[in-house]
Amino acid sequence: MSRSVKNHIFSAVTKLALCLCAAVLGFLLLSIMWQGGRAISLDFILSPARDFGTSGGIVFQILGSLLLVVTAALIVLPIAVGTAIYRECYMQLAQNKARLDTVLYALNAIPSISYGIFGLIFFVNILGTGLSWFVGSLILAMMMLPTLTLASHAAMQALPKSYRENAQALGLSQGEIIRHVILPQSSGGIVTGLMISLARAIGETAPIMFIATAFSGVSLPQSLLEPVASLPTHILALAQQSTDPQALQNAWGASLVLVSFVAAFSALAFYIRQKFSHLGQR
Amino acid sequence: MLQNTHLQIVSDQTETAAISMKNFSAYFGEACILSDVSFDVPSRGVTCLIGPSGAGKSTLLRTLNRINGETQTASFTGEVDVLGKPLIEGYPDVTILRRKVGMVFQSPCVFPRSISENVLFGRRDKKLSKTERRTLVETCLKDAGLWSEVSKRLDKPALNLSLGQQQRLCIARALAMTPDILLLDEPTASVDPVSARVIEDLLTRLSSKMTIVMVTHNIAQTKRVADHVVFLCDGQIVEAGAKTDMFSRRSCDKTRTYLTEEFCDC
Repeated sequence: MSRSVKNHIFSAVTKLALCLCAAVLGFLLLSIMWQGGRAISLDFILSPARDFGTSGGIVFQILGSLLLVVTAALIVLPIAVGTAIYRECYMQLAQNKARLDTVLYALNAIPSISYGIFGLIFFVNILGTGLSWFVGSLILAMMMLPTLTLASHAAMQALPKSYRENAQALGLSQGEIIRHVILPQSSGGIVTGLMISLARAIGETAPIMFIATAFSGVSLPQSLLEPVASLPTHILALAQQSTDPQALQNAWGASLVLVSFVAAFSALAFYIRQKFSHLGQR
Repeated sequence: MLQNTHLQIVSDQTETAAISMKNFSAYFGEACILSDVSFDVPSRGVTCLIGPSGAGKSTLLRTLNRINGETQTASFTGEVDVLGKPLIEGYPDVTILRRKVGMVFQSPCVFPRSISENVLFGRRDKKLSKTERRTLVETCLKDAGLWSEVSKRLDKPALNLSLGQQQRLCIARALAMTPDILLLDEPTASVDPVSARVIEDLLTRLSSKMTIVMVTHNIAQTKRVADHVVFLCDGQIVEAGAKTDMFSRRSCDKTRTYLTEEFCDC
């Protein structure tokens, strides 16, 4: 078989793999858009759920989900960026860097249900917090930590070495180099990592369903130790009532809203990466 | 030949040395890059470090503001005095040393900010008024021979400048720190010949105000700008002295061969 024929076959196989991948994604998205579109209305988005979600809307589920992930982001951002800075600027031994990377990759690989069980045992059972949206945010922050730390570190590592060397030659201290060179120049990568981890966190059900969310009957929490409603757990609850067509339709509608949030975070991450990409060209 | 002796290139006994090295050896891990180097660099004027690749010129230059110290495996032995004080003990805060000993690297590196912000990038410790900042930017850009080309676009991104302009901006940025010594590591290697000549003229002008130590591979450039020359080969000084002596028949055979044929058989 000639090299040219082999090339064509290999090219066709890879193209087929790409088409299969796109087809699965397209089918999934089209199904959600088709089914969910029929449930979506302004009233659905702005009104609270009634009758265990089979009627009414999802306003508190949307607000609850946003509260959980935004708080988680606020908790995880300084820890992840701080860890990335320490690894990039202060950690001397390559062995220690490798150990830290191993820990982060291991954390990233832990199944989300394990985070949920940990939260249930440690916070709810041992500390006695009960159902608490804040504990849910803490657990989501733990889940987001490896992704954001690795993304922040990758952004810092991608900076040209010459930036730091030139700043050192100008007599800037390590702290000034971090504040004025490393953080501003890697902010695009950090925010991109944050958006990607937010997109993942907002769709998580397992880590929060035992510790932070109630399936119905809650509005906005008045304290840290109250549960919230969230989109993923609401969809789960509705899916369990699959014999009720109205509940199923609302589940499709809530799924479309959830996917829209994930898409919005991903699009924002893409936009930020494009906007800041010129910084890495030198 | 003057190999491995303390080379006095200070022409006048009353003239003080800006930099003095005695029995200086530099290492990266186990590898010895420079061995038993001794020489003085006089205040004011341009001192060119010349020699083939791998001679240790850049290592020597990067020792003088302790940029090499940022590399974990780098170390040195011997005495190094900068502006009359020992390099390590005299400057416990390395940032003070680096403000006195500016450095410009081979490839221009401007920060993705405006031209004026780049000039003022190192001046973070000083609370300068708006007028003082503007005056400082203008002075440094004039000293770097860039003012006439950028005066109307100081707030525009520095990345839009040509490579030659960027290198002069790097020099302006170093000058804004008002250093006593300016180190340049092949500053014209990545710019076009016209820009290189502009930078050479600039260095000649600046040499009356400060001590300039420059690494270069360009012998013609050395002839044009140097006041003093140090010829390094294989981690050792072969010969050092005033340019007129180095480019005359008084220099040793190896130096003459290198200066005329750009070849070294050390």
